[in-house]
Amino acid sequence: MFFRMIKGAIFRQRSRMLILLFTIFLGTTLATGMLNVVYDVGDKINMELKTYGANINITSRDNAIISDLYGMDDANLDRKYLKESDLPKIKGIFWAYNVVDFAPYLEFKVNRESESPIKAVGTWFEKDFKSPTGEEYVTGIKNLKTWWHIDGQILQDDGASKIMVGSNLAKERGISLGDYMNLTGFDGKNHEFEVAAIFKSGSAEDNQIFMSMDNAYKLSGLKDSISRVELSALTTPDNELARRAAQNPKSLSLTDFDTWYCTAYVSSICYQIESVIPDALAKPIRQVAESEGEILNKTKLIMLLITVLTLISSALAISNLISAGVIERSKEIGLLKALGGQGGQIVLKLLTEILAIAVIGVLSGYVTGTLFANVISLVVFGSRSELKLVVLPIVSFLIFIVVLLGSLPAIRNLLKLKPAEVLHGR
Amino acid sequence: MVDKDVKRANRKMFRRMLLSSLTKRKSKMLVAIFSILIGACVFFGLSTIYLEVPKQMSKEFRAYGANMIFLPHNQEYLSLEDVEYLKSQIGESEISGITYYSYENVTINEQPMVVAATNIEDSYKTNPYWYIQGGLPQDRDDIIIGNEIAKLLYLKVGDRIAINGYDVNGEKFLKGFKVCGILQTGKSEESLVFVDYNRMKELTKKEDRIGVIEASILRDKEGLYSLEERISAESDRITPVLVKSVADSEYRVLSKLQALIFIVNVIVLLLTMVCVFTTMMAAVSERRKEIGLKKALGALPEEIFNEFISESIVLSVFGSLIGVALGFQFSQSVSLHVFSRGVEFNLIVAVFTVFACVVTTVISSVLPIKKAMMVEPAIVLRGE
Repeated sequence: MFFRMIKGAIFRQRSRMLILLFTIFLGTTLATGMLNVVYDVGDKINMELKTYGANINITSRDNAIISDLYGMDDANLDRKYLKESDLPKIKGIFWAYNVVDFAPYLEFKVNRESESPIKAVGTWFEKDFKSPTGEEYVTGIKNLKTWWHIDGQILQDDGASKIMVGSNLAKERGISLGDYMNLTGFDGKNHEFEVAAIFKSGSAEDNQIFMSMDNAYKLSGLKDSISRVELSALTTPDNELARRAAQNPKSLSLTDFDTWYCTAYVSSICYQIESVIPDALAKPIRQVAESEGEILNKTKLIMLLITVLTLISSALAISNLISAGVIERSKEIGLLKALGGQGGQIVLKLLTEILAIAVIGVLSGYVTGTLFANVISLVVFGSRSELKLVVLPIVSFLIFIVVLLGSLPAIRNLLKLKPAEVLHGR
Repeated sequence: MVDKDVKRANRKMFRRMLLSSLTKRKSKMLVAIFSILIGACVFFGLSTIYLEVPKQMSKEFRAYGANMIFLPHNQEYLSLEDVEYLKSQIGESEISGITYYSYENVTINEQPMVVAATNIEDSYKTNPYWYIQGGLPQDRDDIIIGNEIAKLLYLKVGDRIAINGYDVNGEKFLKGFKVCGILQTGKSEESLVFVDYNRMKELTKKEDRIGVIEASILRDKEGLYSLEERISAESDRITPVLVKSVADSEYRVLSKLQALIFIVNVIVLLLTMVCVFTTMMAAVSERRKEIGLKKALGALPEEIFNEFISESIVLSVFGSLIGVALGFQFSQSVSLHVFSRGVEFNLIVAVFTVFACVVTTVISSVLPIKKAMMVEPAIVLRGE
């Protein structure tokens, strides 16, 4: 009989129940969507911040003392180099997954006819390589330097005789796209290169020429050598522990060290890189690393507060509607009372009805909410958001609490009703 | 005359009916006002945040340091007048930091070094990401050295060093300084020595020899581009260069964040519209009996219609005004929490919010009222 009454209530008062269902459904959709979005908004914004370029600079330990600032270093004398063949090991560190992109640079000077020497750089553009674990990766400056404005065709990582020229250099020396340049190598031989692209970076690279590693080795004679590596990694904002560790990792206690090592702080990623590449010195570029942390924290906080607001508003909307719905049914409840229904039985009946509706609303709302989060993610960030199962229990718990709290005051009021008064019509 | 009296009496009756339906059915009216209030609050709060985010976040993004640098053009060096000229061109309120560097070759402990003569405090303001172990200079004989130099010369904060160099006449000078801070940036600044600009000028006796001016400007991408264009067109002494990596990325991240908030705002608006709609539907349809009675007493359809619409307008104006006030409180506290700055009350958004709420409420009442007006008085009054 109980179930028949509930079924009857749900199906007979179809329009009223549909409105309730729809509200719960919308509320759940919004809550699920927002929770999903807020859950990985940090990762997504972090990914976007990668457009600021590398946050870690790797050089040779012996070479790190006085760098090539303001033309202080002449020639290629006495420089120590890292090995290109060591680079794939970077993808074998504990936080390998967080290493988004990196690019090696071999910097040297070349001569063009009788003009003053030009700074040339060999690098990876879009290089395929295999990590020690056998996975394939693609990396290079094409992804690392997204803000570069490239006129022409970006180079390939092959031995083709092509170069990219910085815009300032091109203007200064009157070089234009499609020209052929004669560059003199370390052995005095001339090599002819086609200018395949002219790029504008807004920094010192605009005075340099870029070429593939193979060509750089050919011109400089420095086989398997690189001067430095720029690396872009997803990192966790620094806290007090990270700052202590950055001074000296060995000063940490064993548990602190483990925590630090297993968190993606920029200092722990640097530490791990130094341990896989011989003679490497990895340093965070503070301009990028520090600022990222600030912005990430602020963004997360904004999204969290917005989520709280939307959760509260959907909670209020749902409970508002439920109490309105319950008040409307005073006549029905008066009748039930007149027929001898006990207070408890009536409450049970009403709650079961509402909860039955809520279950349907929450489940369908969860599905659409997840879809909705995916759509937001695709539209805004161009990538899908992962399915987060933990959101389901959170959302269902919240909605059920809201539904119960929303209906209780109204139900209590109804129980005080006098059947005679209600049935008579006030 | 009689006509006028009737009209006045009609108007009086209308007002009384409106007032009584608003006050006598308190709980139902509260429910309706409440749903409008939530809608207005969320919409106004989110819109304010949406408009505020680029402004506030843009300040945060200045943590990345200079987004425009200025180089000499048709002259070898820039001067302090050029710095003043740039300050006036950019506008004091849009500058988050501006600084200048003049580079000198010197020797310290017989090692060749480069001194960057600058206003150290301004440099730190322009590049807030600088990590200075120790502190900023207290007086003009305090200097900051890069981490690389500290490692090379085994220097600590508080150590004293002597800087050797040649002045404009080729005569040697020697001056002692106290290291007040060691700078870490991860970049080339770590191999520089930072000395007060005026102190260095006294030592070298040279004219202004500023090599580069760095500025951190509170403008979006278009604003920076137009500034770059304007200065390069107006000045034949200065070449502005946009730091593309900083300006471009800021624009990308900010526009994504704004898009995210916008989408959320639209969805919340939809949700609250549905809520208001359902509440109004319920509120009107339960008053079919009342409508039936009015009809039976001879009320014209448009009179009933007008009454209900005025009721919903009063409700929505009332609800949305409270909602706007609450929404402002919300955005204010978000802004204070996240950015430690307040927000301004945006009147246009407020007016738009109230307007949107009134329109939503009226639209959502029209349909149920129309439906309710078709009832046959006899059927409704008899009790179905």
